[in-house]
Amino acid sequence: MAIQATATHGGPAHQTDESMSRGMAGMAFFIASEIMLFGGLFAGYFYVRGQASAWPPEGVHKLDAVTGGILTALLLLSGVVAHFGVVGAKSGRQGQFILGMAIAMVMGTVFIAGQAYEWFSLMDEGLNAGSTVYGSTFYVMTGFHGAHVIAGLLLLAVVLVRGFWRDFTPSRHLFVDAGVLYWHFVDVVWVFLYVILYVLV
Amino acid sequence: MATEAIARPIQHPREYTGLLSWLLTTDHKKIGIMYLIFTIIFFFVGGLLALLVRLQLAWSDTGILSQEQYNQFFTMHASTMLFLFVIPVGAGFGNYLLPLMIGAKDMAYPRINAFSLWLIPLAALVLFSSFFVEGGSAQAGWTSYPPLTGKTFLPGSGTDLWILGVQILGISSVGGGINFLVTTMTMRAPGMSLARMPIFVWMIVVTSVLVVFATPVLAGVLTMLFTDRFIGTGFFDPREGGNPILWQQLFWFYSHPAVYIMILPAMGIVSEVLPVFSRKPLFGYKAVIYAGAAIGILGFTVWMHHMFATGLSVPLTIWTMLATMMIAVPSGVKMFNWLGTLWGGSLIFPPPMLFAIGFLFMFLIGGVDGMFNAVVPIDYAINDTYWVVSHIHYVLFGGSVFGVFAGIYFWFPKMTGKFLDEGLGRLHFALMFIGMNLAFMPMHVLGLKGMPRRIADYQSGQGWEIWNLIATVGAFIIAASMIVFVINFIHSLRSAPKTAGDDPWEGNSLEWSTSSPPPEHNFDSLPEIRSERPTRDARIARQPLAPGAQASAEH
Repeated sequence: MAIQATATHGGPAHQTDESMSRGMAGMAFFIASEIMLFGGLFAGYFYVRGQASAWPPEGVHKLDAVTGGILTALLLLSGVVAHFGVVGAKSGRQGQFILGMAIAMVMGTVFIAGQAYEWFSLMDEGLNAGSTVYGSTFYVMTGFHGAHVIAGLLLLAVVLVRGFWRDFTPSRHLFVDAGVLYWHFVDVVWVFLYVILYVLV
Repeated sequence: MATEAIARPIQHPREYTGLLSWLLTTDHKKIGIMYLIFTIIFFFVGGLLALLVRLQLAWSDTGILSQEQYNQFFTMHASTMLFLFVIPVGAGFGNYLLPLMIGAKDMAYPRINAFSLWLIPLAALVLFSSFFVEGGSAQAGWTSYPPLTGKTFLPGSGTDLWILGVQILGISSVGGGINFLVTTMTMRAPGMSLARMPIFVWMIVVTSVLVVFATPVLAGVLTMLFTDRFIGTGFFDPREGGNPILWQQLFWFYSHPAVYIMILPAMGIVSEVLPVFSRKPLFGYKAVIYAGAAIGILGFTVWMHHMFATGLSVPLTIWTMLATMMIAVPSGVKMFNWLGTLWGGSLIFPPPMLFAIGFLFMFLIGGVDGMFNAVVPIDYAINDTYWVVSHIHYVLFGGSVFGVFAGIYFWFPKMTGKFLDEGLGRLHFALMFIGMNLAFMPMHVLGLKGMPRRIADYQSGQGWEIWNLIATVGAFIIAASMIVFVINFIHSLRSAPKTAGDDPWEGNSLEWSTSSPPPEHNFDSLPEIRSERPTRDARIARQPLAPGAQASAEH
């Protein structure tokens, strides 16, 4: 029985039977790799904290959970606002979408400013990167996180600009979903940072 | 209410020709070929460094290199081989083959693919520039342990350039890993179920999982070393509450899965080559997949076997020892499946088959070597001796490199439409096989005699010289084999006739169902995919029936 050649491979939109789209799968794996990045940093944190007799060590200025708490609230709220924007994109409400993205970006920027302010005040209080591993882990971990917030802000900026260009429709807005997912990820990492670095001391 | 916005028109990329078409391409085939060209070049660079190392060690007190030079050369030999050759060469084969093997027309993210590629020569520039800075290149081994790699003992920027270069390669690697996973998940042709994918594709999938989950940990610990050196953090400094062991924990958490990243693609290549030249299906297709997955998963749990001598707790030591020994099981499963593929087959021995069979012997020896290291009391005696150097080179050279050359001889006809010369290929194999064993077999003896690793010179009168000399001779025979290969490659590329055709080897997987080289979109039409050997199925179906034979509905 001769086997005939079948249809040619389909164009860019062709996919086999899976639930997640190509773009979302990529963002999911990327976030997985970022989880491992922060995971390694947290592992290092627990390692050095586990071998310390006191935390913070003698004479090292302790982090302030209230300042951290304000930053946390800001970021969490920005996640809610970003979600509000996504709902706008899903239902075709351009105004809600743009407003959501823009306000989330503003709040994210204020977070970065707040983080920088906190860094400078801590350095005034004598806590810097060399202040034992307490300082080292704080600055490197919040620094990595801040860099990822900035990356998230850039991503949201692209979402916003493409939104202005009317690139998205209620049925086609993968980029919005993926971008805001990344923003939520950055948010969740901060919650872990806040709880572990600031609160459970 | 809401109106559907008009999407902006799709912009079609400009067509480029000549060199620009290569530099600006997002075509996975061109990208794969460039990966292979870059990585093989770096293989030669690493090999040159090895020859210098072997010259220095050929006898006691040769005086060819100073201690600083020696330290730089062995460090950069390993760093080049591992980060600029062995790891990215798997991505290179994966790039060329994976979309073809699953019936796709490119990777999921072609532009990220190109980005991953071009990070490699950039990283090489960064790494090799370190030879020209004050203090020279990195020189604390590819494992870079603090406190030696702190600012106190290695203040020069060579170490910093090493950190930067490896970081860049990590980003390249993760980009590729995500690409392979999404491509495999979402772009398989109709009929190409997971259970029908070639073993090579499965091995790239497992490799990519390791890449995506392990490499970021390396990025983290490299950053810690960098900040220790530059902004005064104390991650690895006990005076600041840090610990050098922390480096080892996080470094090996990546670097152990990394060795499986280095071997799995080669195992995939061997799993493609052996069935074709045995005229038999791979023995135990599913078992080989499960074994590959088991190696990947177990590989994440054993990193502390690189740290047995650091005073780990007893429970950790015992778990690590047992888990390390357990990895021999899925590896053995694969070995038996490969042997089972050969058994009873109608074997022919063109160069790809020679390299694949060479892989079986060499990887077996290297694996058994590793078993000795797994047993903790034995490891106390042989760790950091030449025994380990023997082990790593049998698995990496005898394993990965032989696998790579099996792949090159196997798929060169697909990429170019031409064959590599068979006689020169056999000569290449013979010299490489002999050279490799001469170079690394004596290192078992040296290890057991107590010769430590990473020493620039050694005292005479310990019975070490003769074995070192043999090893050096072996290294130069390997070099000779590479010259044969380069001659073969250049001559065949330029002058060989285009006689390969679509399916020169009577292959099994989909890449053999299109022209050599394939068109840009890969397939004008796909055969029906009803098994894990779709090209073979189509080939059998095209064969005329013998007189009197019944047409069968299934075969």
